[in-house]
Amino acid sequence: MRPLLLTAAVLLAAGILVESTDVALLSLMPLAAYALNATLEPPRFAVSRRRVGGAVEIVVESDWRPGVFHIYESTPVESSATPPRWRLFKPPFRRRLTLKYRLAERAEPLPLVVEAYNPVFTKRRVATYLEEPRAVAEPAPLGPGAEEFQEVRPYQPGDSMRFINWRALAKTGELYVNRYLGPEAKTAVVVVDARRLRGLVLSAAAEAAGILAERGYSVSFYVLGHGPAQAVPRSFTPSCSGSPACGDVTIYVGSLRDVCAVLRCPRTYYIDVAASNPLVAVRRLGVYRELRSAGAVVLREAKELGRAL
Amino acid sequence: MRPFIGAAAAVLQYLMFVGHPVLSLYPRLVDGALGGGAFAAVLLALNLAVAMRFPYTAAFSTATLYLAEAVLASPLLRTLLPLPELPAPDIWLGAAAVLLLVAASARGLHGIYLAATAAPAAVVLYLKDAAPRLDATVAAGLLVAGAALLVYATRSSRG
Repeated sequence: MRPLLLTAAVLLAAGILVESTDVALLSLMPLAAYALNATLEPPRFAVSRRRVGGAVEIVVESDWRPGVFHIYESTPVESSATPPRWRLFKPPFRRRLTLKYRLAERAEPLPLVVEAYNPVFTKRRVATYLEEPRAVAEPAPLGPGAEEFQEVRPYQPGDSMRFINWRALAKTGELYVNRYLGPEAKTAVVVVDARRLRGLVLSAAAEAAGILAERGYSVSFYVLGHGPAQAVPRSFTPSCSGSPACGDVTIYVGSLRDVCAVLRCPRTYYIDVAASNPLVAVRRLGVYRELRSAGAVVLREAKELGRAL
Repeated sequence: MRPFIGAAAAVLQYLMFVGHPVLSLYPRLVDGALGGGAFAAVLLALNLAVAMRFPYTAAFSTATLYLAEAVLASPLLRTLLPLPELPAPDIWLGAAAVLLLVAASARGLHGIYLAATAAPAAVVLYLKDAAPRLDATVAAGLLVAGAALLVYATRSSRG
C-alpha cells in the first residue's frame, strides 16, 4: 500500500521543512491506517465453485476480518490464454461474497487459486481448489447395503449423493433419498481437525482410516473448515466450522488442546496426536475427563484404535 | 465513489481558496467577471472531470493546495522572500484533505474502509490543541483510564 506511506512521508517532510507541527501531525493519519491494518491477519476463507446454467458461481465464505481477495484460474505455463482474474474487497463482518462469470468451454476444469490479503497487502494466505473432472465412466455399483429398494425417506446430512431421488426433488423441491435393503454396511466418519500439527493429524487420520477399512467399515472423512470428503483434500484452510454427521463409529483426530465440537455420536473415539508427549498428555487430563464423561474414548495414538474397536 | 471524491475535492479546494487572504483573489476575480458561484462551478466541473478518470490526482491536488498554503505561512519562507505574514490554513481542512487522499488510494469500499481506519488518528490533532486547556477532572479521568489499561494489559499478558 504505497500511497499511504508516500502520503505520510510527504506530509512529514513538508511539516519538518516548513516547521509546522500541524502538517507533520497529519502524517499520523495515513500511518495509523497502515499500522492498524498491517497487524491484521488476512481473512480465513472457504471457497466453493458451482455451475449455474451457462455461468459459474464462486462463493467465498470467510471470517469477520476485512481483506482483499484475488481470485483467478490457474492456466498451464505453456497456455497463451490470459486467465480471468477478479479482485474483491471484503469489508469487516461481511462473511459472504459471491462472484459470477460466463463459463468458457474447455475440456478440463482449471484449478481455482484464491489469494487473501489484509487490507494493506502485508500478509497473504493462498489456497488452490482443484475441481474433480466430471465422471465419464459407468456409474459405480451401489455397493454393500444397497441391493433391493425399500423406501424413500427425507434426506439427512451424511446421506450419500448417489441415493438422492431426483424425481422426488423435481416434484417437491425437497431432497429425498432412496433406501435399499441388504446386508448392512458399517460406516465410519473420521473428523479431521488440522488446525494444529497438521502433518501429524493427517497421517494419524490416514492410519485410522486404514484400520477402519481393514475392519470392514466404509470410511469417509469430515475435514473441519472444508466439509465432507471421500479423501483428505490436498489444500484447505482448517477451522472449527462445520457440523460432522455421525457414523456407526466416529473418530475425531486432532490436537485436543481445544476441541472444536464435542460429538454426540453413539461410538466416538478421540485421537490426540499431541499426546505422544507425556507432559502434554498430563496437562490435558481435564479435557480427557470431560470427553470421557460425554461417553467418548480418548486415545493417544492412531495405533490404539485397532485394540479399542 | 469517484464522483464523491471529485465533489469533496472541489468543496475543500473552494473553502481553502475562499478562506485564504491572498488566494481568495481568484474566486473574487472569477465571480466578479462571470457572476456569483462561477468559481465554485469551475472547481466542481474540473474536479469531477479529473476524478472520474483519476480520483487520486483530484485528491492529491487538494492536499497539495493545503501544503502550498502551509508553505506560504511558514516563517522559513519569509526569511528567504519578502512575503507578508499569512495565517496557517485550518488544520481540519488539512485533515479532510488527507482523509480524501487515503480514500482515493484504493478503489470503492476499500478506500472508504482505509479512510475510516485513518480517521481516529485525527483525535491527536484535537488533543494537541485541547490538552493545555484540560482541567483537573479530565486529567484525573485520563489517569484512571490509563491505570485501568495498565492493569488490564498486565492481567492479560499472564494468561
